[in-house]
Amino acid sequence: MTQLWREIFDAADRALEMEPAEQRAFVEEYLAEHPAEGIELKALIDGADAVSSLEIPASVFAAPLLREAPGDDPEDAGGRSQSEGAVFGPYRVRREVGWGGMGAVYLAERSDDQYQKQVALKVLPRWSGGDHRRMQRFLEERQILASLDHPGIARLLDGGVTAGGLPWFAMEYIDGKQIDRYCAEAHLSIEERLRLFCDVCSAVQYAHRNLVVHRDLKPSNILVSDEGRVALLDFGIARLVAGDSSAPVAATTGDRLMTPLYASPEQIRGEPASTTADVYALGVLLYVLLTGGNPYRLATFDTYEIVRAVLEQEPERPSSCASNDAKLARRLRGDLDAIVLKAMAKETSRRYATVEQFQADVQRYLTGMPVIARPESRSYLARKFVRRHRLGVAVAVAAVVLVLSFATVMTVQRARIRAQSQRIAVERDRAEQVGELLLKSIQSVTPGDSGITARNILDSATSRIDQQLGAHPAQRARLLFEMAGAYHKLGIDGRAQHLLNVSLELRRRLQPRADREVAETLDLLGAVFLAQGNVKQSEQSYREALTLRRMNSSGPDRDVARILVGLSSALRARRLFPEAERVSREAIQIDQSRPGGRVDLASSTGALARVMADQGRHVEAVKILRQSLEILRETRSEDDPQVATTLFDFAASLHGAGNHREADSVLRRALSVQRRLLATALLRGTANFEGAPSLAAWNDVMAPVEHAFAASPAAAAALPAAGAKNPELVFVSDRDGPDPVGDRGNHEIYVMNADGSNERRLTNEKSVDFQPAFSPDGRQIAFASQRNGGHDIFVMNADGSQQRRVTNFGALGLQAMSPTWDPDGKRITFNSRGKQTDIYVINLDGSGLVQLTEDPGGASQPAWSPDGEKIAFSSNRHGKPEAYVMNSDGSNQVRLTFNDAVDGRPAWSSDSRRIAFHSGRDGNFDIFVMNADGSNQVPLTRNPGEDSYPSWSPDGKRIVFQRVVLGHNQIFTINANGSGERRLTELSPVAFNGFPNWNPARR
Amino acid sequence: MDQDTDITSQLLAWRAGESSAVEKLFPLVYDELRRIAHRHMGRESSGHTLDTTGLVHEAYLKLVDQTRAQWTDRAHFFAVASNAMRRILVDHARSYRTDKRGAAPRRVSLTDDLLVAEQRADTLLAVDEALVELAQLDERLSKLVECRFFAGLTEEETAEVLGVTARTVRRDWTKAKGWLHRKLE
Repeated sequence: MTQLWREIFDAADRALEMEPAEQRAFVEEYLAEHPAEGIELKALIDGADAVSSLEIPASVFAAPLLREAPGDDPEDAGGRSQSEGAVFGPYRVRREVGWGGMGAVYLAERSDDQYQKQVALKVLPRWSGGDHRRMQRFLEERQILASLDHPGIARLLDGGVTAGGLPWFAMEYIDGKQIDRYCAEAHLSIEERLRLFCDVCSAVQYAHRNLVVHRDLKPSNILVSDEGRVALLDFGIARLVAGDSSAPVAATTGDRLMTPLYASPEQIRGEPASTTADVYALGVLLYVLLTGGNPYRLATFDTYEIVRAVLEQEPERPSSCASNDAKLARRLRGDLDAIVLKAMAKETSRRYATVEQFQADVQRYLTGMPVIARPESRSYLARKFVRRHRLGVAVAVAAVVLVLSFATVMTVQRARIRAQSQRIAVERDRAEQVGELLLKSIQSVTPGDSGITARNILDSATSRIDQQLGAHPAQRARLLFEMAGAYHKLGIDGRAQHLLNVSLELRRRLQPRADREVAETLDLLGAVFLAQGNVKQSEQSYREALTLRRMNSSGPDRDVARILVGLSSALRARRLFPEAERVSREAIQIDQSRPGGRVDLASSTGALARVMADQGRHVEAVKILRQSLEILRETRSEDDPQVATTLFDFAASLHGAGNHREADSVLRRALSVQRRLLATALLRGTANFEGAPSLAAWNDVMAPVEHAFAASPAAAAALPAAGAKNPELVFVSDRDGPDPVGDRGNHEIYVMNADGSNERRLTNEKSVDFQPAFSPDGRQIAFASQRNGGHDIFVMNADGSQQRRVTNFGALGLQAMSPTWDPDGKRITFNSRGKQTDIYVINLDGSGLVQLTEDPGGASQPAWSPDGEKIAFSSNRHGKPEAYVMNSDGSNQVRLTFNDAVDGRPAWSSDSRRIAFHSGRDGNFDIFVMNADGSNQVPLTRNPGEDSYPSWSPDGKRIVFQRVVLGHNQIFTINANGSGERRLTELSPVAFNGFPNWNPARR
Repeated sequence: MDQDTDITSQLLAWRAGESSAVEKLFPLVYDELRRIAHRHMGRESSGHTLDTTGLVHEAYLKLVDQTRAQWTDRAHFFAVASNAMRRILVDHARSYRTDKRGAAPRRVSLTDDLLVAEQRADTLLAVDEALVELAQLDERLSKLVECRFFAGLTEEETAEVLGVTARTVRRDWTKAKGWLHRKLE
């Protein structure tokens, strides 16, 4: 028996160190090999998750029996519980069903058998009968319940006083489950949970309207019956508010009986609690319902720690809390994160002002509308999206973007749009009309099982056009045309074609003649036919559009050029290449000769390039596209849909021309532009009608790339594989949150290749991990981390596995940082910070701690020379940090730099002959190089920004460092002779990438 | 203060290798914890829960001369105190159950949050019994449950008491919970 369990425990030890997927596989394999042990192992691992009672301290678990333990208080004896059969008024107690804030709750039945009815009976415990305050509160709860009549609140049925003077009351008995349990057991989807939550909000709102603040909302006070009916219970510490229900209720002494996890900070501080305290508690509730987890990172569940967390800790975002369920995390990220965190804001002013607002925002989410919880800062939003969302998700949301852009064009961006030019103003009027229509449609759509979709909204909008504008053919035709455009962008071309035909019919019959509108309709119809593969009809439509437009224009005309571009696509699809080339050249000519045409020139040159590419004339296509990109750089911003499209074409042509390396980097650029575009468009709704990225457009640009790569599998496969196993650089970034604005959030460790490719994250501790350093054999990485609350040195394998602590300086009240390795890879040198700053050496297993310096000014940033003899470091002993070197036992300290500026972060070349360091001697920080004896100090970089934290490549030819760009460090490399400087990490106004370190074992 | 009843002296003796110190220590810590616990329960009878974590820390600060104690002593004290807390809570559960015989159907569960008082007492007693068995399979796991559940110590503190890393504590905690679940559910 013992042997059996020893083996199971051993296997569990191995399994528990694995990632979930790996673990599952391991358990399955183990089960196959050792059936007897395997069954136990599986039960053990699965069972552990289910155990909730042990996660709270025993004293809390056993609270009901401790509170009234016999003998503790003689006066209480016998008063703790009403035994079965006791009678209160017409009710007879059947059994105790739970504990409310005020004592026991019993299930009881009418004893007069007038009609069979079960009730929940609440009786003031005898032992508190003499306590005036408790009596008062008990009667108040009865009073409050009497004033409330709502399906979501358990009704008061009856009340009275026993012969012994104990007050009691009977409530509707809700045969249900706690809401969190109900959600889990019924496996409710996110939408279902949100709807259930809205029911809770309705009940709370009703209470608020009746001037009652609940003040103790938590899962155990909210039951859900089998039919899904929600019922609020236990108004035991609720308060009546006089007059205005948003006015705070004064706190009274000893009033704080609420559950700390759901109590708002102001309640905990004993400050007056108003309806916003209920908003907070509902926020916590929603958090728990969505994630199944706890908003705060708590080591224990003792009251003190919870209270402190509620007061001081920012709640973890729901999506990070659910990070072990990637699919769920993705759903929560963004709107739901924002909604929950807004409700849970520490300051009442930052919360939703009312439960109604809170509920409305949840409803908005459910109907696919933008939520008000989303802060407006562009960088905040862009970062959240760009950094976290994978490409696939971005593609999936593209369709929604389009619809959001309609709505927000009028709601959010009205002011901005007004300020824009005449041409855009025309579009605005259009968009507003469309937007209004859509808004109404959104409000009228009842979400189906799969929630609300863009398609739902468009369908509803279209039917409204017919209902409301039947008598206004011009307007009706225009809106049908706009709707068709939307369907086309969603890839629903059959529907688009139908609407365009109707619109075309209407427009052809308009008086006075509307040739421009007819041409516009035919132009779009051409695109729709093309998308459906009806290439001949497409060509016909374009040609007719062209004729009409030409009849009505004089001189070079923008619309003519655009139709020509469309026509060239149709001809290209028919493989009529000479004609396609002629047509696109004509478009180019028009754009070149008309005033302001340069803006569109990229579109017409792009058309020509595609004609070339389709004929396999990739070299010519590359040449043309280079010009297109040049034009775009002049005329458009970096993040423009046209830029993305052109970059994709360019990548495909480069690939076709055999220039795989450049193709790869262009493709990466294209993807990042596209990602940003989608992010910005989705989150801010700034994409205008024409520019909205769409699934169809996306497929359009991706198809040739995929096609090109598929044609050359070897080249395609070569792209991601290089150096995948053995990364060249390790660095730190805060790109993954969780704190979107501050710096307190996530500093995580990443690796990448020396050309910036193949980035991967190694750590995931939601704390600050920084200053990573490869071991000499490249197999391990030492780093500093705050994950244990202090600053300590940790070590992990180079793939991120087996992260373990080396130092325990937190316990000494010191901070340990700046780890580097000895040449044998057995010891780590680092420096402390805090009361004193000095350099230490420690063995990897945490033993053998030796202090090397006792520096009055503080010694830091040690670097062990690869030959093992010296340690370079930085010391403040002369007032400013200067570079020093000493023997590896701390003796013979020699100063290397002499100036009034900072010289620090020394780093050895692999031959131990040179030291790179950063210096502020020229007025700003640059990377310098010197000989190991301090001679020949020369600057390597000369940049007005700040360069720091150098690290050498193992061949001594390059140095990686960090440079501040746009206010954040990014990682650069430069050749050791000062040439070939290049940036490796993507620029960002919000995320930093820094602390680079080169793998010494990767030559 | 009498050497035998001075907790600090016993802790120092323990650190010095005197194994009988542990036996002398237990009753001292037990009595003190029980006393403090009763005082707390009296004070908080108006509806709040007893905070064991605070209690163990309070006892440590109160009973141990901080100028003489070291880190190891704190770990030793927590180990004894965790065991004592287990005894105190189990005593409570037992007398509660005796007093309330038959009031609620017997039911033991580690996963159900809606247990009434009697069932909580049953569960506590069942965990206590199961731990005796667990101690024979792996004593550290049983101590761990004492520290984490009965004394409400943090992961870090538990790691200190058991002389292992917090990571091991986390792993062992899963094993212990899983085993108890298998045993009791």
